[in-house]
Amino acid sequence: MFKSGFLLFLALVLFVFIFFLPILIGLLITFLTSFGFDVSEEGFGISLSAWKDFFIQTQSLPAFYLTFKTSTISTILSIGATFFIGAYFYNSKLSAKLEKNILPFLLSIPHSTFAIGLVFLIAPSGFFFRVLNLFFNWESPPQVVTYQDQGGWALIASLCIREIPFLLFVMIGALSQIKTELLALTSKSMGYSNFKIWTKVIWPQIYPRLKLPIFVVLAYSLAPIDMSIIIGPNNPPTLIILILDWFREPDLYYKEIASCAAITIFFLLVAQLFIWRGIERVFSYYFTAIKINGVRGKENWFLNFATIALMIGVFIPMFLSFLLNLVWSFSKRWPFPEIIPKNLSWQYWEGMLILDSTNYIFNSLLIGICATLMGISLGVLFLEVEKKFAFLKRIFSYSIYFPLLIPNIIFLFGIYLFYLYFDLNFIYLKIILVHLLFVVPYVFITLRENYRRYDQRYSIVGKSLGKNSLVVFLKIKLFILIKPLLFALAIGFSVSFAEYLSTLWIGEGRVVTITTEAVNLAGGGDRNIIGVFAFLQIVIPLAFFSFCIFLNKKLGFKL
Amino acid sequence: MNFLKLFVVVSLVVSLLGVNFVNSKSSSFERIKSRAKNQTVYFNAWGGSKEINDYLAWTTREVRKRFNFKVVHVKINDTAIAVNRVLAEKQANKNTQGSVGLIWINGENFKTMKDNDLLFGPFSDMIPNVNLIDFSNKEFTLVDFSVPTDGLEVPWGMAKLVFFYDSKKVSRPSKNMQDLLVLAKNYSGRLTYPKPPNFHGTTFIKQVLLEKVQDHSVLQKPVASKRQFDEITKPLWEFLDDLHPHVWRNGKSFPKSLNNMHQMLNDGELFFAFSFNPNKALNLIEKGEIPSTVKVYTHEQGTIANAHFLAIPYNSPAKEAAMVYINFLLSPEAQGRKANYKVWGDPTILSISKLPPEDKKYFDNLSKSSVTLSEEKLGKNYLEPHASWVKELEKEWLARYGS
Repeated sequence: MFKSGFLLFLALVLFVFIFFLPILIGLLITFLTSFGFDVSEEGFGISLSAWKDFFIQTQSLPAFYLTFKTSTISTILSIGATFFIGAYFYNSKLSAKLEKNILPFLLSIPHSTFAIGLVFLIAPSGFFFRVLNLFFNWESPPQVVTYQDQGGWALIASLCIREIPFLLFVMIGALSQIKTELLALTSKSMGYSNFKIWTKVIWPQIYPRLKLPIFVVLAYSLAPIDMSIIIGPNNPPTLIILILDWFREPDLYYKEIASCAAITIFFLLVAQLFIWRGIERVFSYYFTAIKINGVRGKENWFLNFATIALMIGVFIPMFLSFLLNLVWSFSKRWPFPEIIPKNLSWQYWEGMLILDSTNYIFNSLLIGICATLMGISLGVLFLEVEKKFAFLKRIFSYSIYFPLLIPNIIFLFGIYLFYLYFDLNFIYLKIILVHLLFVVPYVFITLRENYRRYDQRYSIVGKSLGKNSLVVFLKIKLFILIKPLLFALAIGFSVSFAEYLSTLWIGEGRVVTITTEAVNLAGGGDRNIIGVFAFLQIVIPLAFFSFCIFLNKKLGFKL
Repeated sequence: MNFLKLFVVVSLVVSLLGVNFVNSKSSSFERIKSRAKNQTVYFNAWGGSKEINDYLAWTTREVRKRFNFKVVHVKINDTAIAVNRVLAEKQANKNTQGSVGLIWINGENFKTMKDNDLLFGPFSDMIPNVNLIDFSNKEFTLVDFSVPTDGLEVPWGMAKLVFFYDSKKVSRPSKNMQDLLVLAKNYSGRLTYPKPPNFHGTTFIKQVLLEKVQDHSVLQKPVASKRQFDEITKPLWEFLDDLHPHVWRNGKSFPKSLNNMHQMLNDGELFFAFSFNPNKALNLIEKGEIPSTVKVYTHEQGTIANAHFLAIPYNSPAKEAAMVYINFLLSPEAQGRKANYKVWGDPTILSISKLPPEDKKYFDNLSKSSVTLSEEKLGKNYLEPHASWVKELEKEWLARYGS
């Protein structure tokens, strides 16, 4: 095939230009902008005026506190819940069921769709209170604060509900990498209770594998854009909402103030990582002590019961939010206190599917498919060269996760300003390039294990039969790896499909997708059309997923 | 006799001059039209409403057919984005082939563009249909948040603050803000406004200010000093302090947007709402998005009215086509269609009474429903305060109630 030197060169160039530089430039511009640096003007004067104005804004400090609070509490609660739920099922058949059927479905629901559905569920005029109304017979919806509360608790709860399935999914993956069953059996024979086995033997072994996903959750929770818009507190708001507000000001100076807020989020992230390291130390000290204290423990039924309740508390709202979206999209007026809508109507679907004048679906598909195909090609290329040049392994396995470990508003902000000043015209290409920053890491994670496990001997046999290496690569290697490749394709697509802020900013609102429109509409009043969009947001990635499974059945290579 | 002769001659000359004047104007517009051919106008206009998007799609089809140029509706979700873009283009010295061909604009965005010399013109004299605009009765078509338009933008439609109440749940509308406070106490928690600096939230507090301040002329000038601001706005804050304990969530938090409030009105969570479009309620009732028992009213002394405008960036690559398009948007045909609540329901800025009968017909289908208000019932118009007041009001509001 190609000389491996050429491949290395190609991979490095693409990595630097498509992946590394945009993030670096984005971060740098955001950082410099907060100090008054103007990309378009010559010369460079440092000024602290934006920072000063950021601090004197009356909402900045409360927003800072609220951001810290919501992200810290939601992350800790998510991990805690994952720990307890894991303790309950680590050694049961339930985990396989969860991994196969329930969790992938829950994870395919984008954050914004879930948030929209959750509001239908918990609003004072929402489904939950309509059911309660059967007993209370209120005249009008009760005056209770269930979302957009000042304390941010609704945001914390919804972040937990959304992140726990993700952490569970990762945890089940980690459990399959250690000899869970054997360990459990051995410990059991020594008289340890299920819970003690979990805390003393299993958890300490899988925790290192959970670190990265935990940091991803933490980074996300610092700036959950779509969820903050829909569920989050707005008086005072969180930092991310302040950034979006200031972004809307015609005066460019507000962009400088907004960039200060973005940099503040970055510092918050760094601070939290340090705090996390601290907590880890304390815990590991504590864990070492209890690991060897020899206490066997008793089976604790209350704990099991509480865990099941917790699981129901996480899964039921997600399913309900999905269902409510669907019902809303078919109902014509569904006022409080009706539990089931009286009039059903196709009109909103008709308007969407037949009269889609704005090409929401087309844009989503075009961008999603291009970004995914490019993402897969890059992922495969990186994995190929990484195999040949060991030093790349270390570079990739850290840096490729950057976009997931930094709240993306921080570098998107800089990339937006970069494009604004250097007026590059290819708007779709710009969006696709930015989507790649998020697609590549997920594709890379999905492919990596299988790709590294590929048995080289197949290729060697192929070559010995006189085929050149390109043919061997395409016809043997990719064919054997078709299942993980298709899976990566589906994951990559759903990542691109759910991108909100990058599409909105880089597309300057000119390119609208199902997701940008769903979040946009969520701020409005028309729940029917919101329902249509939210539902499409789930259905299209799922359809793509099924298509990949179908392809896999057709093409799938069975060994 | 001589006198009569002179009179005839003079009037003849005057009328000829007039004709000549009109002729030269129309002939120069003919020239603009011919140059407009084959141009493409990137019309940056808020794209968040299906009705508006559909209406604009109709206009682009029509101008394509009639004048042979292309208009592309660039659906931005915030006008500031387009303003930023032009500003950045100017800083980058991109002075001819700008990316924004025409922009839908008012208020602070217009002020920013005007202050930074980002606008083409004055050009409103060159647009024939500008003569049909009702400048005398609608003085808000000449000043945009008290900034003179100076012919740099042309009014396109108008907005006027109207209040909604659900007649099934509330016995009567309010006469003024003081009366609204009485109703708020009677229907505790069922009334609110979007959180400033949301545009409509700020409009609500501006309305309170305008009702509480006797001499409006001071609000038309920039804020002179912090002391003056405190003095003039004192009754506003006193009123809001009285009002907030009785509004939705006791004034601890506020809805995000007006759309949000309409949804809560539909759910029965709120009994009151408002809109900046007098025809909005009818449109929402039709779509089943608010209860059919909702009624529209205004306050006795008057409510805020303003216009929204069309402006051409200085570096627009299709200025001629943009002008021909503007002229079409101001035609009785396009304005009549826009005013139809089934299409968009945006009130016209033309003077309907002065139109010839064949043009009046475009406005025949205007709703006579009991939900909308006739021009007289809409009452007096308050002018928007100067933009500097808006900034200060928002800042002060956030400091008092924003955390």
